[in-house]
Amino acid sequence: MKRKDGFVSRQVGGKVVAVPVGERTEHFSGMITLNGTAALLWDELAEERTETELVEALTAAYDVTPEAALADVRAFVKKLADAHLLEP
Amino acid sequence: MPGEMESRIRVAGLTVALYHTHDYLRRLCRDYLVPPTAAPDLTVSLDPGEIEAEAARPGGLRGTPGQVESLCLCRKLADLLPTYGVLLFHAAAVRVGERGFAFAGPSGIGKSTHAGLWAEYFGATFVNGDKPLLICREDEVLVCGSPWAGKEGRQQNVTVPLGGLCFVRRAKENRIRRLPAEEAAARLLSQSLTPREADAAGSWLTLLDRVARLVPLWEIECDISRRAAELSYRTMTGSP
Repeated sequence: MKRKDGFVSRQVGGKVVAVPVGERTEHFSGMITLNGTAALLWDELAEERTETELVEALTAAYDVTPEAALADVRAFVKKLADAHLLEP
Repeated sequence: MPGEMESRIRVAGLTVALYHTHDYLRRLCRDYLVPPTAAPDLTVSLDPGEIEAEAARPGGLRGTPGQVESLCLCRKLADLLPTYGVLLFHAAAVRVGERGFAFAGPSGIGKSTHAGLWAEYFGATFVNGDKPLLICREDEVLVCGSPWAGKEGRQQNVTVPLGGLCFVRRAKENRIRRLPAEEAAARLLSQSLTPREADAAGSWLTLLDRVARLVPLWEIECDISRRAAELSYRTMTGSP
């Protein structure tokens, strides 16, 4: 899976925010606020990733069990899907 | 383009060449004009048909052709400024001594009225009543005037350090609190237009982060009264 492109993200006031740019602005308005793990998954999903790869990225960066990481990954991916931000 | 003229202005430490066809823009720019010998850092012009397209767009900019032209140019300039370390920020900014203070919030919330109370009671003067520019350096944020100052046209061509930025909400009781940087992102982003181009949008976010980290941020819930203005004035300026 992979998220849609056309976003730029940066730290603003201690939070990572992503905003649409270019043609993406015609389909998405507003901003996305990302906490620590979400920001990491957001960056990973700029490229094609499997669920396993996302879990490995989280367990490598944070002191979390694979089970907890998997729950985080699934919750975040669902959020992206609900917001139509995953590539079909 | 036929009848095209150029107004060369100096704003936020930048020399900008604006190409336009209506006299309206020239009048707006009167306090910022510089001789055409000054080399421009930026050039802004509109594409043929852009004003007509804007006027026809639902929810587009409204006004006389001259006003729409000036706002289209303003928006185009605002898209380019972040690359030069400058943000156009929707707020009412005033000057008190050698410091600037800004009030932000959704249109119609009363930020301009609140800034006006500072002028009436405490001798503050308007830097810009609608669209001040913020020069966002790595270690300080300055606020300065711009030709685009809303309906009332209250503005002056000055640059002062920004000593505070306050988000205004209407309420029956007056209350002010310091806004932590972590709460600032959504509010800051909502008062400035995201540049369409990716690099400029990245710079834009970096500059908003500087505002979040370097400027004391506040949120006031208030009515329109002298007491509300006294509360924000004492709190934000540190006056007794």
